[in-house]
Order: sequence, then C-alpha cells, then structure tokens
Amino acid sequence: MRYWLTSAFIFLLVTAFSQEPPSTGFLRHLMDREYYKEVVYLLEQTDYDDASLARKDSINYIKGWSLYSMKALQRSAGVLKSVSRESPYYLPAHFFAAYNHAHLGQYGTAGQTLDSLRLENSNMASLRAFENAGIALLQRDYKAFEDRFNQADTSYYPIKKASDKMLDFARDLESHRKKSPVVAGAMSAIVPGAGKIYAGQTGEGISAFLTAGGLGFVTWENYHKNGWKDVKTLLFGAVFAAFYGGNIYGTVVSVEITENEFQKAYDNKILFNLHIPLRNVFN
Amino acid sequence: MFLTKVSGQPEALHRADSLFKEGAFFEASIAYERTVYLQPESKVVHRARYKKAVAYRHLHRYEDALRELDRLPLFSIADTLKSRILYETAFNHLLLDKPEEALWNFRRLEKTREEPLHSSMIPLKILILNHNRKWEEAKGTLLSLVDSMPLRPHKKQSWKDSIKSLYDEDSLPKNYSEEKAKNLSRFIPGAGHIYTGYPWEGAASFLLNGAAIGFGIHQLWYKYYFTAYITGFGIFYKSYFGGMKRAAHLAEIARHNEMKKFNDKCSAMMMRILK
Repeated sequence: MRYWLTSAFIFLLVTAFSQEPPSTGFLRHLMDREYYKEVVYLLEQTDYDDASLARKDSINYIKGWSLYSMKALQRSAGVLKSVSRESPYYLPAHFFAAYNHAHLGQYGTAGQTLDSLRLENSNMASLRAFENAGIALLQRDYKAFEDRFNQADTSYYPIKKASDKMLDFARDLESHRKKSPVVAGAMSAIVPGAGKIYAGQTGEGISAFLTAGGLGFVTWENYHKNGWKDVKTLLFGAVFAAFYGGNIYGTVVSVEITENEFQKAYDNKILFNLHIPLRNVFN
Repeated sequence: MFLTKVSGQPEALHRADSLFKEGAFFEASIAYERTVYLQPESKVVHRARYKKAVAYRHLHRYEDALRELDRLPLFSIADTLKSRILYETAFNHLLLDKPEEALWNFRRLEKTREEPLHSSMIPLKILILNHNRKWEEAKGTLLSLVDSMPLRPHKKQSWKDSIKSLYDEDSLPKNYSEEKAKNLSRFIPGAGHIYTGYPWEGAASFLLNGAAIGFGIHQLWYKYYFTAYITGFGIFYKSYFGGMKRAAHLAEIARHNEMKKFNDKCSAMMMRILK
C-alpha cells in the first residue's frame, strides 16, 4: 500500500505541472504524520471536476486510503470503487474496497466487487479466490469456501501463510457444535447454574448455584419452621422462584451470547487473515 | 483554498492567521501545518506550531495541543515566544485537569521572564494556584493585580475587601478526602455520605445497613440460621462495603464541585476587575 500511495503522490506531482496544482508534497506530509482527517478535508475542498481521469483516480485513491485509515469504511469503499479500470491503482483500490465491505458485513457487495475485477495475471486471480474464500467463510458457507479456496494457488507467497490459517479456521468452525439453549435451560432447571457451566461461563454458573442454593435454603428453613402460610416463607419463596426462573432465562440468553462471542472472535481472525495478503501484495 | 501554491512562508502564515482570526480553527491548524511543511528549517515554524497548538485548544484537542508544544525546542526560542509556549502548556494541562503539571509549567514561565507577568496572564496563574490549593499565594497575586490596576483608591479598597472575603477560611472550597469519607462510613454507615454533603443518602444508607444487620441478628436469635446469614448478613455485607465505596466517590464529586463553584466566583471577580 505504501508503494502504491507513493506512486499516487508522484503521479499527482507530475500532473501538477499541467493544471492548477494541489500541493502534493503537503498531502504526503500530512499522510506521513497520520493527519488523515486533514487530508480528506483538503481533498474535499478541492474542485477537480475538470481534472483528467488519471488525476481524479489518484486523488480518489489517496482519499479512500485516508478514509480507510480513519476507519470510515463505508465511505472509503465508495471512494475506492470510483477508481477507474485505466488507473494503475485500480487493483489495490478495488481489493481494499471489497475488504471494507466484508468488514462491514456486506458480504454480497464484497463478493460482487471482487468478481467484477478485471485481473491481469494468475497471481491476482489467486488473491481474488482467496479473498472470496474468506468472505464465504465469514458467511459460514463451507461449500463455497472450499470451491473458492481450491481456485487459489496457495503456493503464491503472499497468501501462503494466511491460507494455512484460513483452512484451520474452516475446520474449527465446521467441527464446532453450537450449544443448545434448550439443553442449557433444562440443565439450569435441574441444577441452578449448571446450564451456564455447560455454556462455558463457569464463574457465573457457580455464583448462580450458590445464590439459588442460599435462597432455597432460606425458603426451606422458613417453610420448615412456619409452614407455607407464613409471610417470610412466601416472601423468600417468591424471591427464590424469581431468581430460579430468571436464572433459567439468563442461561438460555447466555448460550446465545457465548455463541455470538465465539463466532465474532472467528470473524475477526478471518478478517485479519484476509487483510495480511492485501498488505503484502499492495504495500 | 489550501492547495494552490504559495511562494513564501510569510504568505502561508498570514493565511493561517487570517483563518485563526475568523475562528476557523480546524482550517487554521492545517494552514499552520502547511507553514511548517513549507519552511521546516525556518524560525517561523516555532510560531506556526505554537499557533497550531492554540487552535487545537480552541478545538478542545488539549492532548494534541500539548503534543505540538512539546515539539518546540524551548532552549533556542526567543523569550517572548517561550513565555507564550509555557503559558499555553500550563493552560492545556489545567484543562486536562492536571493542576500540578500546570503549576510546574507556570513556574517555568515565571522564571523565564525577566519582567513581571503581563496582567492577561495572571488569571490563569490564580486559577492554577486555586486548583493546587495555594490560597495565600493566589490571594496575594489577586491583590497585586488590583494594586497594579489604574483604579480609584476607594474602588481598589472595595476589590481588596472582596478578595479577602473570597479567600476567607470559611469561604474556601472544602477539601473532601476520599479516605476520610470511606473511614467514616466504615465506622458509621452513611456518615461518609453526610460528611460529603449528601445527608439524605447517608440516612438511607444508615437505615439500610441497620435494617439488614438488625434483621440478621433477629433471625439468628430465633435460630433461623440460613435466613440470618444469607439475607440479613448477606445484604449487610453488600451495602456496607458498597456504601464505603460510594462515600469515597461522593467525596471526589463534592471536592470537584466545590472547586468549580469557587473558581467560577473567582473568575467572575477577575473579569470584573480587568474590565
């Protein structure tokens, strides 16, 4: 990416002699110091409607990259995709636009962006296949992942390491068995807290067991000495029942939360591994 | 407007200053950075960086302002600009709620200057001294400010009386201690809340703790062991330690509010004196 950005700046500098010049060196100076907001502001203030297509492409590439660095991924994707096919920045711009869409969970758009790319050689085709495989894995479409992955030449150095990891992720995800909320809820109904331990939240499970057990003992003690009709028995019985029921509900919800956390963690790993080859190829 | 070529640095700096005067601080900060870029070796860079820091302060980007100021080599800068840089550094530290660092920088500023402080710098000094609870020095500085002002004798005397009254021991902001609030609540639940000026919350805390422990003892007396331990002592345990934490937190809030109230009064008085 650094190489491509440098060349974009050089291009702007060269074209500056023929038109009203943006201070390219200054933009570079700001980028080097990570003043991305300032770069975007300056480029948005500049009227380059009459500029040549090549010049517009350079500007859009720099702007898109600045927006990407500011984590404004949606805007970044839009600007990067406006880089034309004639531009030398076409490939890095569109690959990163697709990555931005994938990061935003817009998998369909990400796939379309990649599929519409006009590629120059087999290495780029491998990179596209690898990125597409990652996007399929983000959607947990293992069949599509396999198809796409097999299209990539994983001996191509920039994707070699990431490919191995991606295969591991696919295996982990495919073999992962989702915990059942019904089983967890039933377990917590039989032994309070057991469902949470089953869901992977051991600390919370023990805490729920002790609290429910304590309240159960208190209710039993009052029932044992005063019978059902005593106010204290009814009060503690109600508190116990509320906690007991709430704990079952909480267990069902916590299974969903734990599952979401698991899936999210893998999403982040996949995205990270989709990013590494892009940096390797376009840096 | 920034992207057209500017041949010399004075023009770039002039443009930045114009934007600053118009209150376009973000645009001014870019324009000052442009001056830095165009003339990295020139001494005008120091002024540009300083002004960029001031622009950042106006944008409430105090950390960024300090970063710009830190880049300035104070040993090779003229005294006038050095004073301004130290003043700005102290100001940003105070805005970041770091009064000790603010005071340290203000002391450096005073050492740098051969002549007395300009009257426009004194309000900041007084606020910093207030924040550091250096009441006598703050009062003395404010009295000197009144002395240096071209006011009629009876007016001067009136201001001096007001200052003495403001800095009277009973009017000073109380220095609520978190440790004291916590310890008070350790011995009598709710006492820490009352100490920090929250009597109703203190009373509620006292009653809750009393009810919980009373219930626990009552149940223990009648041999309801589980009920006594789990509900009585369990609730007491939670509310007792929670109450101590809350008291310490209230002390922090109360101390902050007291200081703010005092400084608001002090600032209003300084503005009237300097008017």
